[in-house]
Amino acid sequence: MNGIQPCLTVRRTEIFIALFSILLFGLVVLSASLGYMKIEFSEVLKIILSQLPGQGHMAGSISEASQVIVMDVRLPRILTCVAVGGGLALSGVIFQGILLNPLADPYTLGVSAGAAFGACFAILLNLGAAFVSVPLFAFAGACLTLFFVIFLSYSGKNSAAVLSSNSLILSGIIVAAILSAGISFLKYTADEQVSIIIFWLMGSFASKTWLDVGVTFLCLVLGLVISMVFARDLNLISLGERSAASLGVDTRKVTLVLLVTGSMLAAVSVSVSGIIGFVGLLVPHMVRLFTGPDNRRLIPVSLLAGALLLLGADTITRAILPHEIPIGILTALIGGPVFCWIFKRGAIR
Amino acid sequence: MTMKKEITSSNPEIFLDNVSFAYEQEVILKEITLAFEPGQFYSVLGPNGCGKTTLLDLLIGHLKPDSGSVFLKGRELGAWSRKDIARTIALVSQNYNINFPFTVEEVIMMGRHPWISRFSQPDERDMDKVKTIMARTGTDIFKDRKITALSGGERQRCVFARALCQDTPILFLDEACSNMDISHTLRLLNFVKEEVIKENRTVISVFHDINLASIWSDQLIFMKQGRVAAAGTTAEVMDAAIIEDVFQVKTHVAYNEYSQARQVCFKVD
Repeated sequence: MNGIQPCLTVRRTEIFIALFSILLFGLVVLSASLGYMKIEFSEVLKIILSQLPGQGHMAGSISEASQVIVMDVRLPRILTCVAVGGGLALSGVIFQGILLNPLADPYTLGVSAGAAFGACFAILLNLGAAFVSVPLFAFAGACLTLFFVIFLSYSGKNSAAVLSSNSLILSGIIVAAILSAGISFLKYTADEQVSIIIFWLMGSFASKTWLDVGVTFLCLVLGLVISMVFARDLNLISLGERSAASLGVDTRKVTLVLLVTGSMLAAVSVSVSGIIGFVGLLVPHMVRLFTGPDNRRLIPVSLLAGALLLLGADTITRAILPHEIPIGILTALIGGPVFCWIFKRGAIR
Repeated sequence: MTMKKEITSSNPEIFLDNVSFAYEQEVILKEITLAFEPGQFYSVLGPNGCGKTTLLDLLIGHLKPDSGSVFLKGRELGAWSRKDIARTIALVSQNYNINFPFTVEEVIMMGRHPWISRFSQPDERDMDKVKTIMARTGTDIFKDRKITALSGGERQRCVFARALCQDTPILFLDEACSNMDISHTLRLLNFVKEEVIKENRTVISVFHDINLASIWSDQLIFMKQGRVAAAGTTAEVMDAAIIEDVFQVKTHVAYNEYSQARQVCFKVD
């Protein structure tokens, strides 16, 4: 009996990973076929497969326009969306574990406010002309915020209390409050640029490039490796710093590593696509209902589920709705009610 | 304290040398020198805020003393890695709040964490250990339930079982039975006491119930305002004058045939 329980859950996790991977690939292809110009599912599949070495002949019969649309317009957007969705969900898992709080999300520590402030600053000074600088400023803003939050909570004599969940959450709330006042001030002084700022804050995957894909995927893979290495420590930390420390976890080191990992994932996501709420909060919750709270199972499944969900939402706003609405609004409009429903059912507590 | 020094062997499990500690301006522990021997059950007693939990935190390395040193098995505690400490000392802490719905078995298995290397799974030995401990602590009956759905006392038993799975020569109990019913309290303390006698382990516990402490302990340490007020064998220091001085209450202490230990009664004036 002893060995049966874990085995069942392990097998269930493997099934989830396999299923979600297949679904995700299917959705990527489907999403690439949808849009202003319809392209056959099978043609998209051929275009993608023809990119594999030695398979160039497969796309021979397909029009040049379709190939350009799929490879240079739709796929970069779709894959960025996949990486951001996975990154936000992974970041959510990490933050909920470190902050011992199933209601934490990637933005709890003010990373989003920092990124938004950086972006507003760049837009206001019209640095956006250089194209890359808005995301770069957003990323810098997020990093500075993170380091300031860590600096604020890095005190106290009790080594188990340094970087404790309470001090991190408090520092995050304080810094986010200051930054949101700063954002309001920037908007106030922005005049006609205010609409650009607002639109940026609401999030979008429009006009993403292969560079965005590369950056986001690199971060996602790094984040996945680091969080899987520390997954068992994260399990223990999620039960409280003091017991984790007495069970042999170097809480300060592990918290710091995971904090930086989770925040970088969130920062890169926000810089690339603006503020997209609810993915990082909701996905770990829903997945936890199926896999249980063990992070070794939760992390990979959440990552895939987050990617699926965000790509689904982006496909809806890009290809199905008559007008594209900002993805951040859509995720909040869908995610909010779902969250209410889960919360009311008591599945969170 | 002089009395203590005389019975100190050359080789104590834990040795505190003139340790002081303060939070901000508030001095919690003042110049404490104590030795803890293997094969003994110690209890630390004293009023709220006298520094009992702080003492345990210093002994396990969660806190560093402002002055003086703590030695674990003859080596200064600062030179130990967290993992090696976790293989030597297990702590049942006062806090047993758990926010995530792990199963009871998963939580207890976490006690094996210091023994399982980063990329491996629990092996046969770990499984056996967990199984044995669950049976002996009576936690096996709800092993598949979610820890968040248990009562406070049941959760405390799981956390207790987790510490026992760490399989350490030294065990700290920080009010470890505060929420358990008397039957489980006796069962767990009995188990721990057996380990002390048979396996030569060391237990250092913080109790509020002086009578329970007296039944199980070989040695008592009374603390008052950050200092050791009295320390020695239970027979020596389980004494009305000492308890009255430490807790400022009227007491009567006498040997009780039934519990086979010195027991204390209180009077309200």
